[in-house]
Amino acid sequence: MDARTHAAYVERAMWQIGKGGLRFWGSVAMLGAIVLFGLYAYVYQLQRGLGVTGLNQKVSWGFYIINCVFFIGISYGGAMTSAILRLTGAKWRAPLTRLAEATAVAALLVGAVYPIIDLGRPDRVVNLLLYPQVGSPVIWDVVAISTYMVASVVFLYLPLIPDVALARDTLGASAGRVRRTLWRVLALGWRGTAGQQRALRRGIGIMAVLIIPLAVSVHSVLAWLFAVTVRGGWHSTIFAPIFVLAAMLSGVAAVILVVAALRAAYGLHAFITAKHFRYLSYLLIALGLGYVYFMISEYLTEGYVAEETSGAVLEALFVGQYATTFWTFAIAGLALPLVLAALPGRFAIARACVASTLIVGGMWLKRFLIVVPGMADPIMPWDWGRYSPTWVEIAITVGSAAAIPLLLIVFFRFFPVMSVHEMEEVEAPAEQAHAPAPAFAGGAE
Amino acid sequence: MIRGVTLALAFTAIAMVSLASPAAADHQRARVTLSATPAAKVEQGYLISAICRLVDGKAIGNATVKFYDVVELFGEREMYIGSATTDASGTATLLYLPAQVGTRRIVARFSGSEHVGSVESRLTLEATVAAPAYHAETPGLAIFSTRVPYAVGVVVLAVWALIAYAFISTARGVKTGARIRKGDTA
Repeated sequence: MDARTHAAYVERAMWQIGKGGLRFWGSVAMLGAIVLFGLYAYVYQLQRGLGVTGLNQKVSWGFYIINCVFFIGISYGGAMTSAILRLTGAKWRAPLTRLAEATAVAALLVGAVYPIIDLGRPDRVVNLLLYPQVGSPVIWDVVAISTYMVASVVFLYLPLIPDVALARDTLGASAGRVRRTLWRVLALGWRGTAGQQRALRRGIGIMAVLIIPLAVSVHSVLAWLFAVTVRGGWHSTIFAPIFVLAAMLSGVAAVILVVAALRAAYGLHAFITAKHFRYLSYLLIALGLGYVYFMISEYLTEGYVAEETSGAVLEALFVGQYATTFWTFAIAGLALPLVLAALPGRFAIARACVASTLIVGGMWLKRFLIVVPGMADPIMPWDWGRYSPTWVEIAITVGSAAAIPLLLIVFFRFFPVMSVHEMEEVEAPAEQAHAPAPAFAGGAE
Repeated sequence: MIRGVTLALAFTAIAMVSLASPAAADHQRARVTLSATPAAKVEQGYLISAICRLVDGKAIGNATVKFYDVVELFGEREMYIGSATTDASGTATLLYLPAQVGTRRIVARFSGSEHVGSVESRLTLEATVAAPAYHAETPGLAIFSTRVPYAVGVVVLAVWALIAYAFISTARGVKTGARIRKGDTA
């Protein structure tokens, strides 16, 4: 069967819907067990208090805040990848956008929970709503994250409408009642008429434009939480743009990994080829080089002046107690993956995956190097603080990381893994691109 | 031999006590009488007077008396509020304007001198006047910092409105399109 036919699109995008099998249930069981262990660790912390973590009086931000910044960053990268590719009209985006948008929502759901975990007393989150301080970045962080979450869900949902209708029309009879009802409600009666196409294009266009400044604002506010303090290594004017770039870098790397994993799991080799990984690698290289430039700019200006606090933190990073972690990040988590991604020749997919894995790990380390030394640096004349995470923090971190693939697997059991509608739209000749209703879309009639 | 050593130790102990005793005997006992009256101008607070005298009634002049207000700050603790030197009549006076109205517990403490032992006295004062609440000087950029959050709030509302518009208009467009027959121009 030709890979570029409607039947091929439908078959590959939807074959996994409703299907179980050993591989699916095995993955769900394994990931579910890790998530459950993370939940157990959280309940343990809830019962005994934050004393069971490695957080202490001096280093009161640790794994939880690192993970919050990290996972929201990944979400941001997913949303930005999709939005930028849509707005620039990149045709090769079609099989990737659904994966990027779903990754954005899944990572955001995980990342947004971390500030509550870090509170120790989750009931106190109500105080933020009862006694908001409009001059504090904390309240704006809540506003930005919740706005971005709603926008991400809408951005995922709108392009899903024609595909949900397709699932309704193609699999409706054979699907269970829950799926049938879900598809019927979510499809909003989509039949692919010209008016529906127009409304959908407009809605997606607005969201694609909106999601970019929204994602920028979320990560900027997150950066300002650090930058408006007078702590060493945090009080920097470049913090917001560097956070945004870091988020995009780790997000694109995460999208590459998700695309590679789901390509293998759902057999999308005919649609997602080495070309897609090469293009995503180019994006990775551009963002990586931008990040290197920003980082040098930050360290050079701070290091040259070497004020009492920031100088001490830089010393700890470059030659002090955090030097091993810092140079591991700089070499293995940034320089090496960029070289790997830039190399020409064979094994583009494997190289992109290895580079992305290193970047994702490296960017997590970078968040660690932002949060912990900044906290450990004593502002008063005192000893440096120390931080060692306990099993509780590690279990919650691993559990939350496992929640992302679990959410994606469950999501794609209900919805098409690729946007068939978009694939056919970008493949259609220019004069047909805006033509009403592909034949399959109105199949219910 | 042992008996001799024991005797010598006993004599030494008696000698030490007899050397120490005259010094202790030199420290005369004193007492402080504490009182508070409203200041000449009400807004100035209270005039707290500590009269230091020896037990025989003789005034202690030129002595430093320190005054404290007992406050609750992570537990009960004494907040130093000032000190004054006694005059010839043994009176040290401090003008004190509490930070809060209500019951204040004032402590006056004389730490003693070469010949007079330390002593303190306490007083409960029902304060009806207090210092006005502290107001920081308005910074020059306050005109921006007080308005910026509201401007940002307006932007956030606009973003929410745009998201709602994108969602609702798409949903309405799709719903309306569903009622039009395929092939018709919507």
